[in-house]
Amino acid sequence: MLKSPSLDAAVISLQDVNVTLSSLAGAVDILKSITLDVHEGESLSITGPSGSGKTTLLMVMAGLERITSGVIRVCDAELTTLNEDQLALLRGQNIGIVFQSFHLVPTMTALENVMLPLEFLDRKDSLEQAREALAKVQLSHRHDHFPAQLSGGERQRVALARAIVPKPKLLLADEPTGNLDGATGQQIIDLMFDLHGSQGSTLVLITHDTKLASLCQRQIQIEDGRFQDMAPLEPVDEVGL
Amino acid sequence: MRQQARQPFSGLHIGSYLLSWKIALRELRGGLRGFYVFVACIALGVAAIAAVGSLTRSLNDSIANQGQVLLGGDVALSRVHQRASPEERQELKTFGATSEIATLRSMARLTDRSAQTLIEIKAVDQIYPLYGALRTDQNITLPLPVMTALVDTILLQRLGLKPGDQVRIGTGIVTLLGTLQNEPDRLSSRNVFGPRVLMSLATLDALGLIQPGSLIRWRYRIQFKDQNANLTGMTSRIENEFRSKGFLVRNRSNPASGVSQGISRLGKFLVLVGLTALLIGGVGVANSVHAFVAQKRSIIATFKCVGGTNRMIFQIYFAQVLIIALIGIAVGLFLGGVLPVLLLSFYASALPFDLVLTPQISELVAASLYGLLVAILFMLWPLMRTRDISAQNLFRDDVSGEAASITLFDLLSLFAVGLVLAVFTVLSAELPWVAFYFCAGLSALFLLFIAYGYGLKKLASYLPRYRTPSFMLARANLAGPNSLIRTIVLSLGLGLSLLVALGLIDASLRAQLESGLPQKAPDYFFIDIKQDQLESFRDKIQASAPQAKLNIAPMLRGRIVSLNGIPTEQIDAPNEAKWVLRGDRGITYDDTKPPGANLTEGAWWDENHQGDNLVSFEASSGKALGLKIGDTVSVNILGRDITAKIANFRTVKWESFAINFVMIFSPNALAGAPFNMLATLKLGENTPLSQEGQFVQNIAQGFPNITTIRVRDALEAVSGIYESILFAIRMAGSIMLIAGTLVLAGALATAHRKRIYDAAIFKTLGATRYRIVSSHMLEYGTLACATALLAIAMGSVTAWAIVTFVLDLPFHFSLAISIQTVIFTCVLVILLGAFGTWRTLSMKTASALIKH
Repeated sequence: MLKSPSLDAAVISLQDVNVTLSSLAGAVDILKSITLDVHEGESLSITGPSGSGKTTLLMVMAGLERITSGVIRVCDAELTTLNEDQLALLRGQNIGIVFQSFHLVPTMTALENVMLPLEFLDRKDSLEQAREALAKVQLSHRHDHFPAQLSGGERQRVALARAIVPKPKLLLADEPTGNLDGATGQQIIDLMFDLHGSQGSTLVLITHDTKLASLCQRQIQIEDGRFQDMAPLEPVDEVGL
Repeated sequence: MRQQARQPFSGLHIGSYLLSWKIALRELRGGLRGFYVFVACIALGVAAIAAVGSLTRSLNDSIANQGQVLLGGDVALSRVHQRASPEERQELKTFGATSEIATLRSMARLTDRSAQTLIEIKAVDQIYPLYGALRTDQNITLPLPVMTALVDTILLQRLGLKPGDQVRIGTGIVTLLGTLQNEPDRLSSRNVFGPRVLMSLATLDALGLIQPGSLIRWRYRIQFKDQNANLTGMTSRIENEFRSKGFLVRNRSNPASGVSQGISRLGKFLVLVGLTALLIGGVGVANSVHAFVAQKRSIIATFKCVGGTNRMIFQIYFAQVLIIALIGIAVGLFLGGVLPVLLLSFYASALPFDLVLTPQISELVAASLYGLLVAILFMLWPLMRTRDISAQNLFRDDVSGEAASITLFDLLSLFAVGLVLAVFTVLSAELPWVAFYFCAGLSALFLLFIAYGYGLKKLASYLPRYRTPSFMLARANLAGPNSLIRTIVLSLGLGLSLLVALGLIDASLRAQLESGLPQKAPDYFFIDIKQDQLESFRDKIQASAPQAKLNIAPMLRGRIVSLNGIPTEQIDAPNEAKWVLRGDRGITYDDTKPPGANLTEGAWWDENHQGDNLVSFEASSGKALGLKIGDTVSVNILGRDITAKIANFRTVKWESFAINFVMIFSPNALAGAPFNMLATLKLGENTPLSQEGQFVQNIAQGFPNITTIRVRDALEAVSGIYESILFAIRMAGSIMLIAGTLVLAGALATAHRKRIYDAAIFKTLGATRYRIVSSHMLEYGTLACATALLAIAMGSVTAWAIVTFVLDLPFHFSLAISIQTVIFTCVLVILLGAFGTWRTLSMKTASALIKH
């Protein structure tokens, strides 16, 4: 059973955010006057064509991209005031990220990959927590396997376990099924939404897949760095998962 | 219940170091792939330093441990010209058993006088050797019967003799009983110019060679009665007693001070060369770490995404690279330990003493420290770049690229490691000021080479864009972001510069010795001409070679005992003048200024000068010793101290090989002293060798006591020693070049991984193999020529400075060496490059594109 999102507590708050990147060809405006609140427990999808700025928006939320102007708060922290290491710690404690290409460390086993964020937080229970997280993604039997010994779906499940293991307030996913076949992709989606529901974290999902986007409580479409349309916030129970 | 999120600003604590090592070890499961050049670069440098350090220390330890045998006694005394009197010998015997030995140069002639050769005689008493044993090929034991001798095999070869044959020495005929295998005390009385002839003192007495003024060194070795006697105390007592009588005193703690010092200095110099090889290898370390960090970009970005801080990530990769460096150091130490053993197995028999190789822990620690510091110095910069890797890499290709961010802390860290390395080098050097200049010079050279590489790359970007595709491609590679210019210049530049410098110094020396000498220098030296033989000797020369130019001077040997009343042992002479105060010097007297002598200060004395003893001193040594006109010099000649005032300073061209002396006295100073004459002879131009031989034979027949030294033979003997030293330096220089080649091979391998993709695109667009090969060859040829030109320039400047200011000789530039350098560099770079190009072309286009 999913919790209803709290409308009062904004886990992510963007106000008039602009991102302009410089390149050899000149400055490029990637995000233009973005204002958005994402509330605790909410699931939000961001869709849009290639180059529309959706990935940049995700990176801004993760503190991986500095904004050019505006205000951004994530998990009660004003990101523009934090330095690189403070941002890294913020991510370690509060944000889990799932990538399209998994990005597991090839020289580490599945268990070690999952332990990593907890180890960076100097958590003494990292081993137990990582085992538990792998159990949640049904990979208890694959602890000691290296990424190269796992299938694509298994790798993404390990990546998912790694993202949720610190029990983050915010789960960011960038095309999590982009490199997977249909059936495997569906398994990952089911798992991700289950975990989002059971842990009560906020989920922000970047996808091209409108069907996947429709699973979220709220959908945003972005084009040329601006929001095109915002669906109203609906009770999660009515989403029909 | 979800765990409460911590404040994101909490700092790192000590556990982070343990964690970074834990993660580093996990990451290293991937193996050493990509680090072979790194390991090889560190291993090579460490091996060179460890091997040289261990070998030199073992050599000196062995010399010190075998002090009694090598010196021939616990204490050894020596004096030229004058044999110890019965009273002196009696006094020596109070310290223990005393053995008497005489060494001198003479001539050995066939009994029919048809051939002769210079020999080094060693005449020994009944109790020789006090320590160690003499080894002969025929198991002959000492003492030898009168009128017999043992000789070096080379003498038999030179004169075509065999054991049992006879030779004329002096006025007698000696039977050669057999050949010498080893003299235990060979190191303390080296025979440089001729083969050894060992005989009894009784035989020497019978040969008529012991005459007043003869150049004979009398040596006395003492075996202490009490072996536990205090060595320093006993030595001091003997010195106090005998130094004033003209004896030089040494003890078993330092049986061959010159040799030990020479070994130490050469060793320390070779360590500096090894360090240079290590620093060149450092470029390979930097390249490897740079490539490693680039390869780990996505993992580093992942770490950053899951909460890894810059500091933690730096620690993780620092730990990994440090582990690789430690592997390199371990390999280097192993090789450095094995190398001396291998060398010993080949060359042990050539050493005049038993070399005992022992693990030299201090040398191995020093080599490890050098390896560690160089590895840290060169891995810091690329590891600092992990900070610039953005986590955005996981989402997209970077739009703006990763600009290197340089902080003051980065620069201070690099400077601190460099400083520690420099301080360690200076403190562990035999001559700290040489090491200081070495560090400063090398730093300047590195910066110069970096600037040169940067300038060349900039220059390449300004080259016009010709339409020739090969040229266009080569230009793009030279000026592009993955340009090899800087790596090649740095990796090969230093090694090649050293080899060019060595080649040019060698060429200048050879030019001076081989072509410069015969024009001016005499062809022969004659020593021990008795005064009563002078007229007949002149006549004989006049009759045999009327065109020859004869120059004669009285000659004695004496040792400076004090300057201005200060004993020489209390004078801290600068290095360049130490030799003047050490041991015996040739001394002469003259009424008039010798032709060609150039007075820099003061005036020559009047003919038939009476009154104060006066002396003319060689200018540069005099200045180095702080002497001025009117200062006094006391010289012990034939056991008597003679004090004279400096009347003038004069320049001497030592390389002219004419009769040159540091000191020329006024005749009144040496009145009454027994002496022999020294003569130089310059034969007429183009005298055939057969005539020369006949002439020497004529002299030999008339004057059996006179020793003839052919300048060319003497030079060959000296150049043999010089060649050995040069060989050691060349070998060390080659290590620098091997290090450079390793670095280059690594850099080319990295470059070719990138170029495989380029080549695939070119082929897709219609480029032929020839086109790609020609562009690569053009690129490598340009790189090689640019590097060689820099090396020739730097090597020439270095050689010019050393030849002009240190050796004081005219500098000869050698075009042949320059051309050889260019050809060698081109062949090396093109060969290494061609291997990569072959791999590039052999890769299937489709798979290269897909793989990328």
